[in-house]
Amino acid sequence: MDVYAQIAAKIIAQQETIIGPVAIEQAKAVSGLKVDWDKHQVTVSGDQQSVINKLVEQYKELFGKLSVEICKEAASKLISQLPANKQPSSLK
Amino acid sequence: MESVIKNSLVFSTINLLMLQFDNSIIKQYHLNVTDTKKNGLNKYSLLVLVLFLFFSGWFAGTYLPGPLHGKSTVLLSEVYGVVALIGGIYGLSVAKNWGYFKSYFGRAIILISCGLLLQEFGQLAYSYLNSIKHVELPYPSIPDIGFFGSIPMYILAARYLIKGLGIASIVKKNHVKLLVGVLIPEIILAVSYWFLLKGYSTEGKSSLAIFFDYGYPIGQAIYVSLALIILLSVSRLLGGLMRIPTLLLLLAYLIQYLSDFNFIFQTIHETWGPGMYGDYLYFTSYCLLFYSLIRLNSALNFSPSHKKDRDQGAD
Repeated sequence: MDVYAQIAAKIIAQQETIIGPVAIEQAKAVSGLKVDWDKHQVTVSGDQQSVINKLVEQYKELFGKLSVEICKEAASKLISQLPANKQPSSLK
Repeated sequence: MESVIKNSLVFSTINLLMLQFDNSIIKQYHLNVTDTKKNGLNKYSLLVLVLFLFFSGWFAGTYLPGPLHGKSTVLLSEVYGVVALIGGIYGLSVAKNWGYFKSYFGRAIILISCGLLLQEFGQLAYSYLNSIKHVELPYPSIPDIGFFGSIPMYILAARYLIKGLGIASIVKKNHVKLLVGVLIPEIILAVSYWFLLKGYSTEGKSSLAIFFDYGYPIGQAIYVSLALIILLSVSRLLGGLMRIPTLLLLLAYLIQYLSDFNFIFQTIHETWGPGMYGDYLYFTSYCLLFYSLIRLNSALNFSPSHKKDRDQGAD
């Protein structure tokens, strides 16, 4: 998995520990994101930064800014592997 | 010919506008329906409302004089716990949506539901011993399995909410919140000690009674402290569909604490009586806990993954 897919997988896994199976349903509803959670495989296609932003936005509808903070925390180690201009704006 | 074209153009424009108007009405209707559901006004909310109004009326009625006054008050104190029973069953039945023990919120919901069921067990056991076995104050006794048993349930549930909402990392980053998090339990414990344990004497008391006399205020201080820490840590960050249900749950925790605090206080001062305001406090906390479980589940059902279906319905 590339870094964006790993970021998405980390965020989904973190949200799953909080709200359960709905976290995966929500991720599946994001366009550009293909989720096979049985195999823990995530594929990000198209504008990858935008897809991650959409995923964060999806979770933001549940807990607001708190969800964003949780996503940032989950992706913090991986995000540093990306150059500043390639980092999704929602996770900066 | 020109006038015919003009007329047909006007006619089709009016038709189009009417169609748009109809569509907007249908859309509005669907939005109203979804908004109503989103706000948690489903059949379970209605049930809570009916129970709340019914028992509130009954509680108010106990203050009116009448031939059945005494019996009615005792009966009320025996049956209002049904709200906790229904709430507990409801919570366990919807925990599946949260993946049961696989998620922090799932665990919290299961534990709160068990807490509600234990409270009802305590209520029923108390009523049985008091009304049928004529034990004036059954303490420490079987009801304490339920009443005291609910305390670790609420503490664990709050702990999982803290984990789920990422409170630890928020508190670590903010020194003021860290200080508040440290101070709150100490203040609550000091208040509990001052009102409930100051001048406490162990003379003539069984070791079980002493355990409960200390255990209740300490346990209650722990769960209410955790609720307050959550409230003060995330109240600004918490938003979205879960904001109101989570705040309602924390409010229910506070009222549950007030109920427990008042019960011990009234028992110490020998002013506790069945069907009085103390019971109404418990009843309110059960209603709020039940309603917050409903709202949490409704929020999950109206999460973004379900939004597409709603929007398609509206279109």
